[in-house]
Amino acid sequence: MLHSWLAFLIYGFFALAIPASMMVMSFVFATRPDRRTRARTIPFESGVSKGPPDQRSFTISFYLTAMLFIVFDIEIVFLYPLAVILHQLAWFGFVEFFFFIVILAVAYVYIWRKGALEWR
Amino acid sequence: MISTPHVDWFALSPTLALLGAGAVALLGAVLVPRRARRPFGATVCAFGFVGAIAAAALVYGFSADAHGVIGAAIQRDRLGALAEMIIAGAGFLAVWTSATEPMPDDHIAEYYALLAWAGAGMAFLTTASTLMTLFLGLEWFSISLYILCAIDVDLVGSLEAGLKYLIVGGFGSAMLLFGSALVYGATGALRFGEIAHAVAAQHLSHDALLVAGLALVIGGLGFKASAAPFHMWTPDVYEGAPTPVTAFMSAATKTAALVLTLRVLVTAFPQEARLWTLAIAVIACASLAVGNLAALVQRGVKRMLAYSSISHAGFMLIAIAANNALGGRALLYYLVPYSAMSIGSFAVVAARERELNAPVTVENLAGFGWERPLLGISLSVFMLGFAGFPLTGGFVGKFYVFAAAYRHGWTWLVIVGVAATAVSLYYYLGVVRALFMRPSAELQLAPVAGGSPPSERLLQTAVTGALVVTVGSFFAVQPLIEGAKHAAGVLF
Repeated sequence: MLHSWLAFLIYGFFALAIPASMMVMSFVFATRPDRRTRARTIPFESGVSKGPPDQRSFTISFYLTAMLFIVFDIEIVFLYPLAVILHQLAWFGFVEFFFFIVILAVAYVYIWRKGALEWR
Repeated sequence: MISTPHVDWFALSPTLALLGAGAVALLGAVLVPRRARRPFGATVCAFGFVGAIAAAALVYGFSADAHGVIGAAIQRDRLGALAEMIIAGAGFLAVWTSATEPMPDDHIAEYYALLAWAGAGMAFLTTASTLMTLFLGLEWFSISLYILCAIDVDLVGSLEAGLKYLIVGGFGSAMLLFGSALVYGATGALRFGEIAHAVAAQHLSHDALLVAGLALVIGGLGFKASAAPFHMWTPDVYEGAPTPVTAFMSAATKTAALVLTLRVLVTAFPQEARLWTLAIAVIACASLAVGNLAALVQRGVKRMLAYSSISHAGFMLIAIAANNALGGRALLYYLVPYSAMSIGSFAVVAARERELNAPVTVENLAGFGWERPLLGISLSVFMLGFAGFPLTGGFVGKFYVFAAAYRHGWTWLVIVGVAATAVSLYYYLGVVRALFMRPSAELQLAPVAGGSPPSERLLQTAVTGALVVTVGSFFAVQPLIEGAKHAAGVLF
């Protein structure tokens, strides 16, 4: 009985141990003085503290354009491997990819006419 | 050489019809003049659903022998085809209900596109026969529904409903995905049939990974079917979402989730039947208890119907828990009148909402039956149908469900179901009483300026359609049961 649940015990152990060890280690290996300086109270992400708050404002268009770029970037990512093995996949690959492109084309017409590509 | 699967386009045709309709409706959002978008979107979407019904009927007719297609990723059989017909029918009625919904024009064509795509995802889900296609179909329609719930940003509670559904639904999907991963880890198979083979061949029926995976899969599907204890999102989302969306969700999502639950449990986990039949029976009892007891104290009609839908998930899970041919038949039959009653009653609520410009409560339904006899009588019939009175399909559905549980040897489950039905009479008949037995003088709300609003032909057509199915399924029980028998025969 224990044997069959051992995997779960190990899983649960690691699920708890990893975040716990991260928190403990950040206290144990802290090299800077104990004083809670201002920089240490700022939240940080992936080890990079954001520093003092940025006063410059970004236009939302950056994010929109970046997201739309990723969609079409992924399309290209799929196109390259398809081009390499298109001879093996033959018509199946062509038809499948045609569908993929049609779906993206519909989306492209939509975002274009909707004005999402205009820089405002 | 890479071996490529043969693509059976015909088996996919109901999904493709809806996908195509959604794409055309989306292009309509930018290429059609603003004033024409609403009728254009509604027409295209309605044609998509009609096309899906026709395609599913053809698939049903030409798929007497069930078989896997497209690398056995989806199953071409009568079970999937019948469920697709129910889903597409529900979507068709939902389009009629939406046509005159006072929504701003900004996203109206997108609304119809998403409605068609949600239907496509559900149609795809009912035919899924691997854990991959299961998850794909589930996310496909869920993401469409998250947006649909939040699409009317002017409506109080719409955004909240969308966000709640997104977060809780995301949690449910994560559970399902984790469960699928554990099942795959234990058996090394993704296809439902191969999972069952692997369990039999490697004597895995007591394997911890497999049992934990099965439990998580049941939980994940429970979220989508809104069965207790996975129901907590249901009242808020049903109340906050635009009423036509609620109507579609309550009928079609439940159909897709329950049919898939039946398929995955029976085909992938036959060796675990002792475990999952009991688990499903317990979930059914919890749903019946939570749904009926909470519905007793609701004043808002949409909230009451939401709890009623939880209790009906309980009734239909009894049919799944029976794990026999009669149970499968009962589930597929029950879904037909249930979907019609569900859409019909939400459509009537939508009509009242538009008249009052306020949320509908049991109090402000007072006298509605006399003001609008067609809608009043229809809503009464739906309520009586939910409660399981004869002359509606609800009666036959409940009868079959209890018969299935009895044949399985679970008299206790029948007793729980009958007790739940008795409790439900209170709130269902409360609505009928409000409709006809209270003078409209009690109504405190001022009527909308400009006198009585025009009666809505399109919505009335939807309600009449739902009424015909509700009553018709009682009289046409023989052909429907035959159809359900062929469909359930795929599994048993």
